Amino acid sequence: MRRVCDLCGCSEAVVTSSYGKAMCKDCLERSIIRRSFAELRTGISEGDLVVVALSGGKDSSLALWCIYKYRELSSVEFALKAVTIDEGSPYRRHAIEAARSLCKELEVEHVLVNMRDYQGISVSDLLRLEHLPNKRSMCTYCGVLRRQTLNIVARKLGANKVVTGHNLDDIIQTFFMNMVRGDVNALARFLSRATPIRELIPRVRPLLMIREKEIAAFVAAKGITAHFGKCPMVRGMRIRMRRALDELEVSSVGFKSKILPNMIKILDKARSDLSMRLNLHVCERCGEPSAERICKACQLKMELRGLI
Amino acid sequence: MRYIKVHVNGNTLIVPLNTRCEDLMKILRLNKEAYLPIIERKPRPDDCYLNDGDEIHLIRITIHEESVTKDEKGL
Ligand SMILES: [Zn+2]
Ligand SMILES: [Zn+2]
Repeated sequence: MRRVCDLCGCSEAVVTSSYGKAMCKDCLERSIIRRSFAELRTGISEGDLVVVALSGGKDSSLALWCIYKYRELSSVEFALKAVTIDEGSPYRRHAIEAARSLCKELEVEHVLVNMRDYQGISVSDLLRLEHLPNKRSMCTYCGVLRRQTLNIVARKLGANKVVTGHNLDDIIQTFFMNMVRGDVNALARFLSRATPIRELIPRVRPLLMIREKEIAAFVAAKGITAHFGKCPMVRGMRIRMRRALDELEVSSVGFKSKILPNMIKILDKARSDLSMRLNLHVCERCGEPSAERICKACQLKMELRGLI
Repeated sequence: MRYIKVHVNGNTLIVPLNTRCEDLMKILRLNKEAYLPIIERKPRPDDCYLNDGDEIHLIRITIHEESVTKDEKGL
């Protein structure tokens, strides 16, 4: 047998945990269930209609698997649907196929929507442009328009909770990016459980405490249907932030897991001062949640006027 | 020093005996947080020792560099 699990001492290990321990598939499964159920217990209530934002990638596929297990193992009864947004990007084909297969395997209703039907724009439209306006990156359009589409679709389906696959790495990167940009509005909303306006459906993040590498190892070891490819168009500050945080994790083991509770503590302490910034409005043009008078999605579409 | 032969993403590499997965990542100048090592068809922990003849696949789980060519961008 190869490297044996440090926890049970009887099976082959599949990953090194945040605390430097080698873990087997079963011990990792118990640990993932413990951490994700803690989030789901506070986020999901009896009678909820929960929509999982399922891209077909490893993170959202595991998020769906976790909530599926939660429904099976807990006494809480709620309805579950998965929504996949086809942004019209050529690289997404395999992931969408994986999303479809996973829903079929778990017998979860799958709703596939075209972003162009809701936003009038797709990633393939943007790819045809020589340059994007104001030196913006593709991720800005893709992210902003996808998030808004998800909110519209979830509301249309009658959902009152949206589950996303954001993991520990994503959350820490976003926190530091907001710090670097000095984005106080975003920090005020960050990880807040408050729902400032009814148009915005509350988010639940079962993978909040789980490192991306543990997710990848578990999805591979357990054989959960998911696509492992990364978007080749990703660029900008998130990449640099990822690299810096991964270097910190390698040189000081457990960095990511240790920093998250501290981030939450600081934000909770600062929340009273930040609360005046928590007020979301609805966009004057489209009626969707927005931190400003006109939402980001409308701003981006106005910039593209005449180009597409 | 004794050496072993391993196959990494289709390339053959000669590494010292008692090389661990994380040592291999260091040799290849890869950040171990960004790759999932699949050795002999199973994910393995960072401190797993490599054996002679191992078939290793390093799956990129996160991106640390921006794409440079049009091809890489999937255009
Ligand atoms: Zn174990
Ligand atoms: Zn708007």
